[in-house]
Amino acid sequence: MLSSAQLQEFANNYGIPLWGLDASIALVLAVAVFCLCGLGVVVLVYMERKIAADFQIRYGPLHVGWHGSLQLVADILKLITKEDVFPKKADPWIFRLAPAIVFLAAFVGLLVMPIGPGLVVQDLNVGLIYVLAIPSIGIAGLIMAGFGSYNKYAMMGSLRAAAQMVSYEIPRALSVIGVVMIAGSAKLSAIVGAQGIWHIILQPLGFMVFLVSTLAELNRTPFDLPDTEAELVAGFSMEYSGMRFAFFFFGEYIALMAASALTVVLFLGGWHGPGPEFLAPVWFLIKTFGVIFLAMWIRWTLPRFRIDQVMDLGWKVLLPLALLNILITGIVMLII
Amino acid sequence: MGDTVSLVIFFALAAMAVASAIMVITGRNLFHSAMSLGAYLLTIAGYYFLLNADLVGIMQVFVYVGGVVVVVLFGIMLTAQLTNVRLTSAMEQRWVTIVSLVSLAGLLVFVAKDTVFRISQLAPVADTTSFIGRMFMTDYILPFEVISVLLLAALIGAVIIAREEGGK
Repeated sequence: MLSSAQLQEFANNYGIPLWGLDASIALVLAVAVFCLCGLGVVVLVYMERKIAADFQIRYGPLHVGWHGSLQLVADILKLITKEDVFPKKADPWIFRLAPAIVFLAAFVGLLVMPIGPGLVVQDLNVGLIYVLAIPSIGIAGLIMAGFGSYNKYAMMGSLRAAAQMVSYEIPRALSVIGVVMIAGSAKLSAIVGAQGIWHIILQPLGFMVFLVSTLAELNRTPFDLPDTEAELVAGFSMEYSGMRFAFFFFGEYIALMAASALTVVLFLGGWHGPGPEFLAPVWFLIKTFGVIFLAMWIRWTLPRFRIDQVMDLGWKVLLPLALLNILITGIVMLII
Repeated sequence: MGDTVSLVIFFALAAMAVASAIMVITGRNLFHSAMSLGAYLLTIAGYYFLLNADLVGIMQVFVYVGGVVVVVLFGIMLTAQLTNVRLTSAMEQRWVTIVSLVSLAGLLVFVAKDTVFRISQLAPVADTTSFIGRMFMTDYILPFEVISVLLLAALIGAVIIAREEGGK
């Protein structure tokens, strides 16, 4: 997108160096994605509250705005104006940096998602490996939050989060190898382009493993062991308040958005859909929200696992299944 | 990318790498040292991206930041006695250290002065991922398989160590 002939001509005509044009376009797009993220989080939180309420046979937010739709705006204003509580024994640097790192790691994953043909901020060759590698920086952020807070519950929560995310990273990365084998590329736009038939049909096993390990990676129920209210108070985020807590909260929802978008890109045909080409982003958005709804549905239906059950599922069930999926894909591709 | 921009990025990365590497060594808190190590490894990944080696760069992030640093942090958190102890590492052999440091610096300057750095005139490979994959499966199949066997041995070793502790 950034190296198209028209852009080069434009740069030459006005004497702008090409790298400058590239950099400014990338910056503008990144800011645009950031704003869309903020809007997306507002929509997602409203959706989550209403869905949760519906599942528990109550109304949910109702009074602020139309059907409570401005509730989150009120909540954000409250969080911004709150006092910034800083624990006495907390590690100043680590404590302050942690929410920013968690948020950033969730956000930069969105920058490589192709939402339409040619509509992507930065189409990396290694796009798929990039989106799998970036959450691991978020793990470092969670450990920092646990360590920096100087609190036993926060520490337990962050250790659990790290153990869980490190374990589920492996089946998650292995489950998408089948997709890469079929598409013949790790570039996300090429993977979408290769989906004449959606990969969910060709890779049902890979899709199942990917979906379960994605839910675990996002720390959502039934895998929300890191912030179990009943035993760990609130896990790694318990000492955080006001704006710092809001960053964790935003990071969580942006990670959910990025993971759902990745599921759509890898298995659900990305921007493909009936109708003319300009509808592509709309289809992408509809599918993404479908996956998000699925994640919320699972969250408000299933109870929480125990930590040993979570670990067993990851290492003894999902990892062998992911390996089996690669083996089957390889054999079938060899025969065809 | 323009040459000046590359140079600016290069020196910015170099400054960050040196600063974070010094912080790893001089840090008195083990956790801070581990964090600086993570920052240092990220700057190295930045170098790979600067050199158009995007696969190597992202693997650096995946393996070193996501794997090694997280496991180091994990280890520090689990050894509860170490987390908030301020470590003091006194320099015991001051003169030996200074002499070896100066001679190493001299040697490095000498080597850098006399080396002719060859720059490839070839255009960078566009699709690095599939290119590296093909090379692994054709020209470099033997090293690739040897590493696979080594990793398998490490995996089996880890399983055995974990089993013995649980069995007793």
